[in-house]
Amino acid sequence: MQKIAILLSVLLSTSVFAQFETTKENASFGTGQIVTLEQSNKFDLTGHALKVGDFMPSVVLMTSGLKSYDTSEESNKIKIYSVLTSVDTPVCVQQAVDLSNYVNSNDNLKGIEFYALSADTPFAQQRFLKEHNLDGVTYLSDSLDHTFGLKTGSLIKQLGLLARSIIVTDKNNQIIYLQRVPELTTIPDLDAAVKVAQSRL
Amino acid sequence: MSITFQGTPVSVSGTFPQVGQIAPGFTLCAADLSELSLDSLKGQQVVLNIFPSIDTPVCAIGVRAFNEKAAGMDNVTVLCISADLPFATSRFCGAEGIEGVTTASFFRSPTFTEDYGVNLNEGALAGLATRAVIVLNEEGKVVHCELVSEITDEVNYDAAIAVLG
Repeated sequence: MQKIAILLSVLLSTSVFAQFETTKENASFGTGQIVTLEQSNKFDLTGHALKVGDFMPSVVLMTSGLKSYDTSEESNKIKIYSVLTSVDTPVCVQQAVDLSNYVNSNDNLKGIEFYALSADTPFAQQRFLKEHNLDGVTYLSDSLDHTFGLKTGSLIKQLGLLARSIIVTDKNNQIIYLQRVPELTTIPDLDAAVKVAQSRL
Repeated sequence: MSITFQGTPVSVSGTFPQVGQIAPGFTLCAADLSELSLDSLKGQQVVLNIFPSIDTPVCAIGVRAFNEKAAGMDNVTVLCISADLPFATSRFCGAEGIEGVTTASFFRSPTFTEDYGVNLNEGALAGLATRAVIVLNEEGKVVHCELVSEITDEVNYDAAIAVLG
C-alpha cells in the first residue's frame, strides 16, 4: 500500500509541464516481468506475453467515439499502438500530445494508422482529447475487464493499469515491433517504431 | 425492468438489490488507489451513487447534487461509484472543489456490476455501470433503491436523501 501511495504522488504531483525522457530501453511483456516506478518501486506484469512474430490477439475495445473496435480486424494498414497508463497522469499527457504532434507534423505516414490505448473510460478519453485539442489518433479504452492488458501481458497486476509501450503490427496484424518501457516515468521511442512501420509500407 | 440509453433498450445484467436485503459486499478502489470495502463502512448510512462515467454531464450533475445535499449530514457516507479511473474522479473533484462525497472505482473489481445488477454488457456503454442509487442503513441493509430506466435521466436525489435518518 505504501508503494501505491508513492505511485499516486509521483503520477499526480509532477508538473504537467515537466518533460519526461524518451527511452530506447525495452523489456518483455507478461507474467513474471516487472515494471518500475521511479526505479525503486516494483510492480508485476500479468497476462499472456506478446512477442514479435505473434498475431495481434483479438480484443474488442471501445473507441473514444463509442464505436466497437476489434484489434484483430484487418485494414490493410500498418498499425502503431501507443499504450498509455492513464490520460489523467502527466507522463501520459506528454506521450499522447507528442503522438498527435508527431502524426500531424510528419507527412510521410500514409498507410500507417495510429492508436492510443489506456484503461480510462471512453468519456475520460473524449474529455482529454477535447481539452488538449488532439486529433490524428484513434483512442481505444481498455476499461472493460482490462482484456487487452491480459491478452498482451501489458497489465500491471497491482494497479489494474497498462504498462507504457508501443506495438507495431503489419498489414496482416502480425507484430513486427514491440517496446515496453522498464520504467513507468519514461516514454517509449515513437521514432524508432515509425521507422520499422515505414520499412513495411 | 427494461433500461434504455437515449431511447434504445440496452441489456443490463446481474441482480439489483431490493429493499430489505443485505447489500452484497464489495472492495473498490479509492481515490488514493487504496482498497475500500463496504465492510469498512459498517455503522454508517451509505448512499451508493452508481453511474456510467464522471466525464458525462448527468453523472457530473449527480455527484454535485449529492455533494450539496448530503454535505454536513451526520454518519452518512456518499460513495460515488463508476468505472472511471481514480485519476479521472480526482481530477473532477479537484476541479469542482467537491469534498463531501467519496469516489470509488470498480476498475479492479470485475464482479461489482454483476453483484449489484448494474452491468451494462452491450452497446456503446459496455463495461460501464448503469445509473442507480442504493441507500444502506447502519447494518448494511437496503432501505431505498432506484434503478434509473433511462440512463440519461437523473436519479431522484431527494427520495434517496429522505430515507437518511
